[in-house]
Amino acid sequence: MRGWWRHRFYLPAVLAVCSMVFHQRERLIELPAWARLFSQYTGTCTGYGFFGPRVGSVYVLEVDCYDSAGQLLARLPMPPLAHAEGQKRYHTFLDVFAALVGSRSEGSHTGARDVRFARAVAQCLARRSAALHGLQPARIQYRVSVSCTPTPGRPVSGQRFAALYADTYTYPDNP
Amino acid sequence: MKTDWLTFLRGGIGIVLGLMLVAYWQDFGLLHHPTGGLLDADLLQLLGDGPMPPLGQLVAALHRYTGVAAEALLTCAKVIYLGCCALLAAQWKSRWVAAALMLQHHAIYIAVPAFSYGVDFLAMTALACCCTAPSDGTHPGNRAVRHFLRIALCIVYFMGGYDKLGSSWFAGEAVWKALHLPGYAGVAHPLVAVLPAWPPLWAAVGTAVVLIELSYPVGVWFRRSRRAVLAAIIGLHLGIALFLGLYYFSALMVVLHVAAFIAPYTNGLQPVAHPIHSPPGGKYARTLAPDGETGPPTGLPVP
Repeated sequence: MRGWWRHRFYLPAVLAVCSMVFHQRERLIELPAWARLFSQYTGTCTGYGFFGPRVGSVYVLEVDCYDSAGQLLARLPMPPLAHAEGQKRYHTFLDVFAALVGSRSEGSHTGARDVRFARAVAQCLARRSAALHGLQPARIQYRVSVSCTPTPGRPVSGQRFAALYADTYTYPDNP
Repeated sequence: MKTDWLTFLRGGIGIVLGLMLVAYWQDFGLLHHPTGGLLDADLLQLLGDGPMPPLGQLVAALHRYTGVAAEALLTCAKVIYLGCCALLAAQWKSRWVAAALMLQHHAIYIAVPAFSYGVDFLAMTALACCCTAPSDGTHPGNRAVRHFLRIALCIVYFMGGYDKLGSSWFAGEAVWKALHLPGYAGVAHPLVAVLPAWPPLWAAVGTAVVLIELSYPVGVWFRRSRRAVLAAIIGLHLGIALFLGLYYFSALMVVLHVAAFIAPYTNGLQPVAHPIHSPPGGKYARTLAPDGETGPPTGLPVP
């Protein structure tokens, strides 16, 4: 353990370390705008939890497309993302649906901004998924579910999903 | 060929970020297009976090003022980003290129954190190091930035291990769940189905992960434990790459570890008697000599 404390004063590095430490306590200390910008440009604006304290469940948005006669055109499990890297980012983004989990619990404030935002995202993603798959449905039904992964003590083959939210959107121009 | 820690860091980051963008190339428009992507422009705007606009907003503004199609602008953004990665890997005007890459990386990956995961933030830290560290290995700032990188890695692993302290990881449920998440499947993932669902095995794996992460911030500073700690953490990242399919995250972390704790003590693959970040002929060599790290390398045998 030699020499690590002997480095010279170098402002960017010292500020970045401070930013990193402060960000870990962001819930206690409200960072000013310049500090937030600095922490974003040093990559320290995150909690480094990495699946801690526990591994979160994965959210899924499924879209059923129907034509004007009510026939099922297609069931879309996800948008047409070509590569695993894009799919990972899409799955990360679906964490916005965590707000819907809270909305189901008793006594929660279902009109909260996050819940309304999550519902708007669900509808938008469902409409865009249908369009990006080249479909022109008259009506879509979409469901948001959360995966229930079995534990090693109680292994069950396959994934189980619990429904969180479901809604229907009818296209006004395509009755 | 002499390869110091900063040369290795710049080369490694340029290659990893370039490959990550190539993998993301086809899906780039779906997540960033201001009007033709997965989200409406209004929702994208709500997702923005921070004073700087995300790429989607920048493209929308440029499209309004210039009339150039958004698709063409997005392709330009990708080509420029990839070009900067190549220039950084080639060590050409590294600090300026790293600064340009930081601005682009922020607009693409950080400004909308909902689309981001760990690799994006750690890449930003690495780019900040590439940008701020002087190329002259004898400059005090060079050493300071390397120490910043070391301290940053220690904070990353301390927080990673600290957040995992709890029954979920020690009971093995977290590891089991991580390996069964839809969308996280590496080339070795089929092996998971072969492994027994024996709770003590998974509890041991979960406990080992927490212990490796918590031991890193302490063990990596001591000569006797450095090798073991680095081997364990690099092994952990290899496992993450093979089983969870987080290839770019793992590659980036290995590059950071090698740059921060291995490259300063080696010349290529050969251990050196004196760390090469303080060569005798640099501009700041005379001022550094009394304080510089001298003597045999730590963690590696003297040749």
